[in-house]
Amino acid sequence: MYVNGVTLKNRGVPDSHRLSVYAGTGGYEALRKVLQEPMAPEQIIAEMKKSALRGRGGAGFPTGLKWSFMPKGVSGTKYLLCNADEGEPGTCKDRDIMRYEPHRLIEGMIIGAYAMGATAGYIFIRGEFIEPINIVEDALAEAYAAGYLGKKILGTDFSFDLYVYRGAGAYICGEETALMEALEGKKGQPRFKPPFPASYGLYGRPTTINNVETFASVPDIITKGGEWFLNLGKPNNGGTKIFSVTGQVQKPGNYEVPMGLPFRDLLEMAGGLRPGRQLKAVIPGGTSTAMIAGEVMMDVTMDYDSISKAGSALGAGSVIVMDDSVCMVRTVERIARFYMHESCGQCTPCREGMGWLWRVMHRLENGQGREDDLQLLLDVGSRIEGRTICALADGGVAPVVSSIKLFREEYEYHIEHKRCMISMGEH
Amino acid sequence: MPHIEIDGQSIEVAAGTTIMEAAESLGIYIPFFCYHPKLSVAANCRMCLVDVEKAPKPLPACATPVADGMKIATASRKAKMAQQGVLEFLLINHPLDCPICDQGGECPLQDITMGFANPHSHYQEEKRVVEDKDIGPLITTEMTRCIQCTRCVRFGQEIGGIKELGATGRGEHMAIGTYVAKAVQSELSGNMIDLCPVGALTSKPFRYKARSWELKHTPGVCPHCSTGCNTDVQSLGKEVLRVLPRHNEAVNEQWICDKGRYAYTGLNAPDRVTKPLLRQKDGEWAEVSWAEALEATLAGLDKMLARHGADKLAGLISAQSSNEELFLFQGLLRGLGSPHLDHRLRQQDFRADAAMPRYPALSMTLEELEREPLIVLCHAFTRHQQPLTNHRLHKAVLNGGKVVSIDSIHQDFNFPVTQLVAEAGADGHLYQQLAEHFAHLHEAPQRDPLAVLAQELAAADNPLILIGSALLHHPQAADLLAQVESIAELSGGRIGWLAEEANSAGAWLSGCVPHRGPGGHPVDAAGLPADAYWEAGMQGFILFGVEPGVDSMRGAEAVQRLANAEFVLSISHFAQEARQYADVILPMAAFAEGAGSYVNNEGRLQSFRAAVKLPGEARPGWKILRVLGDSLKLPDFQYNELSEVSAAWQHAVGDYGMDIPPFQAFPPLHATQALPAGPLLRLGDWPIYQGDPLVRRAAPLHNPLRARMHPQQAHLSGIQGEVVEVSTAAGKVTLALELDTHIPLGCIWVPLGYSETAVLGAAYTPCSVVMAALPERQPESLRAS
Amino acid sequence: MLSEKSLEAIAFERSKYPPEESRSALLAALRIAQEEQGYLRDELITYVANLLDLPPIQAFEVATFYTMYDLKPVGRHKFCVCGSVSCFLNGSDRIIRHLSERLGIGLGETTEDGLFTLQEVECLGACKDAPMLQLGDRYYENLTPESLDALIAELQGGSTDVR
Ligand SMILES: Cc1cc2nc3c(=O)[nH]c(=O)nc-3n(C[C@H](O)[C@H](O)[C@H](O)COP(=O)(O)O)c2cc1C
Ligand code: SF4
Ligand code: SF4
Ligand code: SF4
Ligand code: FES
Ligand code: FES
Repeated sequence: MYVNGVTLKNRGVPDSHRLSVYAGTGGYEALRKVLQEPMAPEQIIAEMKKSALRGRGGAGFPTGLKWSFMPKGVSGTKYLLCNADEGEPGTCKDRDIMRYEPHRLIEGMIIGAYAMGATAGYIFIRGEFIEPINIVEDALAEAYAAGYLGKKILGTDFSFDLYVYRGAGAYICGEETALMEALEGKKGQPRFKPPFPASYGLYGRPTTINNVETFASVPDIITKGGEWFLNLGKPNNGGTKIFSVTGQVQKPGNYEVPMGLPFRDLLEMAGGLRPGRQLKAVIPGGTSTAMIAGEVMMDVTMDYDSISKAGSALGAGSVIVMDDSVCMVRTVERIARFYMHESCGQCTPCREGMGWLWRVMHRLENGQGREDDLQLLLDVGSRIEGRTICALADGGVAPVVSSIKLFREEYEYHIEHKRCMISMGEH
Repeated sequence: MPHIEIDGQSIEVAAGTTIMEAAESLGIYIPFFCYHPKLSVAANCRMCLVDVEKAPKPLPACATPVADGMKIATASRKAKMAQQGVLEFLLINHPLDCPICDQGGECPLQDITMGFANPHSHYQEEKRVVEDKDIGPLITTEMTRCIQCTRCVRFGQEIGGIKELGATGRGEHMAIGTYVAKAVQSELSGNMIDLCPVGALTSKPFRYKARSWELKHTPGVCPHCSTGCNTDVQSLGKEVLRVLPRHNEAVNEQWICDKGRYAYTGLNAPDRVTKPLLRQKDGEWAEVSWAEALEATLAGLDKMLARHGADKLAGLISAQSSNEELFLFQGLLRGLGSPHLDHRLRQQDFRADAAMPRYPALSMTLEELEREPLIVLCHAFTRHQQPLTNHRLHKAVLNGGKVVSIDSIHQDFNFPVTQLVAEAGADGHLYQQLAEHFAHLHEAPQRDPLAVLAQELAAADNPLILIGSALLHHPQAADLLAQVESIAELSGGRIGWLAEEANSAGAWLSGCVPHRGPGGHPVDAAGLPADAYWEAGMQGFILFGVEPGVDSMRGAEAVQRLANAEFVLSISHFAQEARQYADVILPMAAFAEGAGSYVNNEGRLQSFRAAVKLPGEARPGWKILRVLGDSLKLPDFQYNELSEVSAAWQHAVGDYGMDIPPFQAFPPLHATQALPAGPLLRLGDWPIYQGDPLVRRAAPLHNPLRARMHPQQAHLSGIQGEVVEVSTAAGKVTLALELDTHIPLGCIWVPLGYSETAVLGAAYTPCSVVMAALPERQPESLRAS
Repeated sequence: MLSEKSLEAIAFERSKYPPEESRSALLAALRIAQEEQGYLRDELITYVANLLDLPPIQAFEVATFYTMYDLKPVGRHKFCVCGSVSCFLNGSDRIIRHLSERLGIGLGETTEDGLFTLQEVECLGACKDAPMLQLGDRYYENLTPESLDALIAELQGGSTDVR
């Protein structure tokens, strides 16, 4: 099985973040191939399409197709952005790519810029990631010094400038248009779409944005071919994917495995459950995705299509494992608090609804639940879903609604007995 | 052109049209809060969600462009569910106490809520309380009512040039406000009250005065500048309670400025006259009957005319007067044999009179102004002088046009303007230099902004050059006009005029200038212009709606002359100044109390009706003039109805286009003379809220009186404190000083329009400035409290 | 109001963006100002706005939107403990309680000597190493009461390692 072989290949190698180490393991060969062979932009995009690489930021949009949307022959600057805002609870993969493989990300971006005709780019890194920020800044300096960035890259006519942009603390900036607003020096409030970034992005210019892991997958796709990447995974679900397995497992961590791996195997890689525990539920793709019952999850394979069939989404591959020691009400209350805290506040259903959901959850958790509270939560959720500017609000509804569906009796017990049926103890 | 269907009705609309706009054109109502046709689309309230066939989710009508073949249902179950859901969210944190809310009765939130079956909320948690913000004397905030639609913020950014208002915090803590309790600084701020769909922003002066449905609405025309905004004057009984914009796309769209909105608060100033006043032998004033007052007026005039002749009688009338009043006024003066009448109290140089156009016309419509690619403002600070004409200039800039201002000081525009500022007093020189650059157009590259402007003007197709009132106030106005004309010729451009007051155009057309009669026809023997009356030893004055002490350049001199004249009749709303010199004061109808018509800057004739009853024994101005004329047995004063006067005015004035005839040549100029030298040059003009008797008395619009000086100049002049004494040949005054880099070196700016500064005489005169301490006694305020 | 060094840092940030987009440097400028002066007073926010030629309200909007800006004074060492789901499932509440007891302060409070502030924050993107906290420039992961005690002792000993 191809494990930790694409974006985290060099993790564990000393100084893997240095250019020398990266170059020593075939780094920047893809860029040389593209510029010196040379590969035409269309060829690169065709290869990306063939690879069936889907965006690793959460939405899973086919990357090659996205790249093909960038308008050609327009005058003025086109921008390429990297989304390194990683903020959804359970998600911690981009941080490791940046810490261990910053050059892979940079190389992927340079190739993307060349393919789409972008001349400037920004890596938007969440402000709290100070260590990764410093590493990426150093790597950029190395890449400039080596002639991989800046004017006339590798002696060709292609120029590309790349900078780090530091966020300042807001999950919503992970939403691509909010990220652009933040980059423009504003509050990170998502824009209404259309227009889409490919026509109206940063500073109103054509812009493409991808996740860190997406970009970091590019160099190998170029050197080894789209076909090769596709075959690592499953049709329509190409390649390997990092799964951040967190929660109640013995060896939480980032596991880069082929798409389509059975969850069962992934769980085993992560050390399995703690002794004597049963699997209660799994959030397969970060808190914005619906919960799946443990017994169902055991038979699901880890790829976009299978998880979607199981009623949830692969999201960013953030697998949150909960065993039978977990009080669902308390856990979901905690998740609801996150969405209330992170709502940007511009649209009514989200601004008002996230707080409402949390307040009811909070009441339930504190033994003040009312008989019709479950119906109320479902009703409020249904009035939020699909009616907001961005997907944050839907993400906030999903854990509440899915957990009520799966664990209704637990909720009801809370209402009836004013306390938990599971003694979670102090957590 | 996409073909779509809304609620079963099909329509073809232009590509890019939104569902909301398409529905509007079909007369289909979709509920909304954040959407506003004049603002950018925010799509944040989500009230306008509609059901689009094949779309999995409801879509916001205000932000969704139509696509060919779209089938939209605005009231299907899916749409209604979505709308009702949003409404419930809006209400959970909204106080449901409409009966005590100032917006009650005119609140879209209230109306939309009524339209839904189930406004009852399932929300049983605690409601959010939001702190109120102090954003100045005009707007009350009740932020708990705010629904975060950001209309006010967008208005501020996109239209008002309000840089103080924003939405801070995030999520449920997002709140509208200014930072560190700053007042909103914008002459357009009141429009936010109209825009706010709930009772979060309401009018402070109107607070608790009445419920909206009790108010009577009367269509009005704003009397405070030449834009001629259409207003809706709302009153209860005898009192005007508020003034709101009346929608007219061609004039003011749906805005009015704060001057137009709040000036009415000056109506009940302490010195309002409501009974005829007669000066007694001992100099005291007595309230008398109309008969007595008229008798005294006729006797006074008779005596004055008998002793000094009609050549010593002069008339001054405000350009806020209606066409009818202006027409009767000139008839009165000329009927009495005096050629000396004028409305231009602020002008000093009248050498160009013969060359002036028939009336000060923009020479295009306000809407056309928006599409001008290059506009040069000559001594015109439109932001304060014609706030909503200024808005059209703002839109011209948004449409890709360019605006350049040439002036004596830097002005604080609310949109990007290239500013060329004269060195102390060298205004003429600046224009002359600009003209000279046309001789060197091809000497690229140019860095000098004047040279750049010359190139741009030469390259532009028919650029627009607008003359502002400050240019006419200049002591060398005729020279400046001649220079501006030559620049217009050199650049192949057009000249337009920014008329100063609401009916300046009407004043010219009606013949209230000494050299032209009604219709602009030259008179046989021209009289003297306004500024000459003080030195010419006039013995009789008829004043109509003016306060020469603050309305003219040389106020102190004017008051002195008036006090020494044999007979002064003041037909006025207010008595404070007239008590110093008049013999008879006749109380006249003020704003909203009388009917009449105005001609705005475009040449648009607009009439207005009386909204409230006259206070006390005040009478409409036109009736007072008619009675006077009639009693003096003058011909053509037998009118019974206002409409008869209007008809006579129409007949006398004849046809006048909105497009004035081509510019007539100004007298050729000799080399521009330097202004008399002194240690410093005193500059000044009338500030926004000091320009006419009513606005001067509006308490909420008060702006503190300050002299302004460049910090470097203050340093050079050895001034450290915040108080200075300014002296000119005419007199001296102690004033608070504000350091301001907008004022060029070598100058101090002292505003006109205040009784305190009248002693200094005209602007553009030499002066000296020294540090001082504040006088102990503050002059009495005219403003109503 | 700011040191030469900070002004240079802001000018450098400014250079990353097109000349007409000075606003893009706002978040960085606020951060640099806060790093120098500890927290963002109103006057400091206004100063930063003026530095970039922006209306102050724009800086206030930003300063109140993002959580990394401190609008009130904070202690020299600010414990930002993650309380989001993965950390919660691994005992973040216990970590917070332990810190609170050891420092004698509640959430959002600062010790009287001005040394420590305790805050609960949302996910910091290190969920696999839960429970964790951020202190200055660094993440401290896989926390236990013992590792916290050691950390506090080190900081009280005046270690300059952190900020
Ligand atoms: C609320 C919200 C938060 C998001 N956060 C992130 C994030 O932290 N990182 C990320 O790459 N994408 C995030 N996304 C997805 C981005 O909007 C966007 O789809 C992604 O960056 C595209 O890159 P990809 O195609 O490579 O996945 C978020 C989306 C939403 C709605
Ligand atoms: S859904 Fe929430 S986060 Fe997204 S734009 Fe609306 S208010 Fe902001
Ligand atoms: S104050 Fe009024 S206009 Fe402004 S956001 Fe609130 S509700 Fe909207
Ligand atoms: S712009 Fe002029 S006419 Fe319009 S409201 Fe203001 S003062 Fe009145
Ligand atoms: S009116 Fe359309 S979203 Fe507010
Ligand atoms: S949940 Fe704590 S770091 Fe992500």
